[in-house]
Amino acid sequence: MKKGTNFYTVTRKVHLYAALATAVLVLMYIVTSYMMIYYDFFKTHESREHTETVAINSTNFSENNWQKFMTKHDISGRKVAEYENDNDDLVRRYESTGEITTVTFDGEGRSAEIRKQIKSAGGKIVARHRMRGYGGPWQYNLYAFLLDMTGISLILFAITGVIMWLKILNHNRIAWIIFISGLAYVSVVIGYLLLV
Amino acid sequence: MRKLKKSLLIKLHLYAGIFTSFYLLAFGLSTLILNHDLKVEKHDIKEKWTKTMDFDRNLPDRELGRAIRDKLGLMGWVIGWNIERTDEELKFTVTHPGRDYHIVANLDDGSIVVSEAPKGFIAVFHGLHFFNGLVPNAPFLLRTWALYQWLALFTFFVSLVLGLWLWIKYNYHPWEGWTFGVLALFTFIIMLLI
Repeated sequence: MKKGTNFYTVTRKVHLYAALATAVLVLMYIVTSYMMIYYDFFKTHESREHTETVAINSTNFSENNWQKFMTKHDISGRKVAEYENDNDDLVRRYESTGEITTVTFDGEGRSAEIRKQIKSAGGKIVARHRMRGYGGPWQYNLYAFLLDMTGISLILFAITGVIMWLKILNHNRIAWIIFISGLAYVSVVIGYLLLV
Repeated sequence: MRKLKKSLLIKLHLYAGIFTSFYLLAFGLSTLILNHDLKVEKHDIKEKWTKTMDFDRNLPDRELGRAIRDKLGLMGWVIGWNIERTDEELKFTVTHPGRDYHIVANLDDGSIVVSEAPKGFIAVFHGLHFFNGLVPNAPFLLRTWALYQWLALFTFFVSLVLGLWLWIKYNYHPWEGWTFGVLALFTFIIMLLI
């Protein structure tokens, strides 16, 4: 009896703490999911562009000089791509939740074109839903860690929630109907996508 | 009365949670896959078949791809960026969350070769994160996923709010409030900093 009680208590605590630890991110996900569903209303795909060309001495920046360049030209976010375009010009792209900045250095290392795609207010909010992965400045790594915690928490929510239901309201007919209908529906959708 | 209210709230929390549990599993797994950029899609060709049919060769590439897809009765989107056309053939891919169809249409004799590459269970489960059911040629049942997704998000919100309410009202410990309150504030600040 005591063993059962302990298991239930632990399950309940895991369920609660998984929810509390990630509630802010989960709420953000829910709100931004609806914003993405109604993207026309929230104008999440809209942005405005700003381009300027600046003089430089060389494309061979030291890390320190590059940071100064970024600060001077207000380039925010983390580097998401670096490549050579069709003209063999070096291109660096930076992305934050507010803007996407593409810096294209001319082949002779005399100028750099800085093109900023500044997101709408809705786009900035939704960008937090899309932001993912480790790398870049510390806050991005911390955010990625929180996303990992959220992913694990969501799985824990679901599993511990079902375990608790089986413990508390095992004989509740409505709960069984919801559970079996949900399982059947999701299984049919997955099965169809797998087979067709 | 208080007990009745608590019992009702627990039941509502539970019903909403059960309804949304499968979506949460898919969403949770998908979050981890995306955050670590894991490649979960399989690309092996498992089946290959041919068919001959008439089609309007004068259509633009993508339109022709769609016409062939519809005549073949395949479900999925024609990918725009990898269409290749020569004088003899049109190569393109039709895709949906569970499968890629690589199609080669011979423009001379109308023969079509379809190579099927199922993406696998994990890719499909992960794909539910982005799936809205609105795939070309999808049956009605699949199209209802948009409604399920909308409702799953709503019931998840209800379940979360009810759960927090039950905790605050009936099971609140100050240390939990402080610990998770500070964590929530910290998370919010990080969200503002990125």
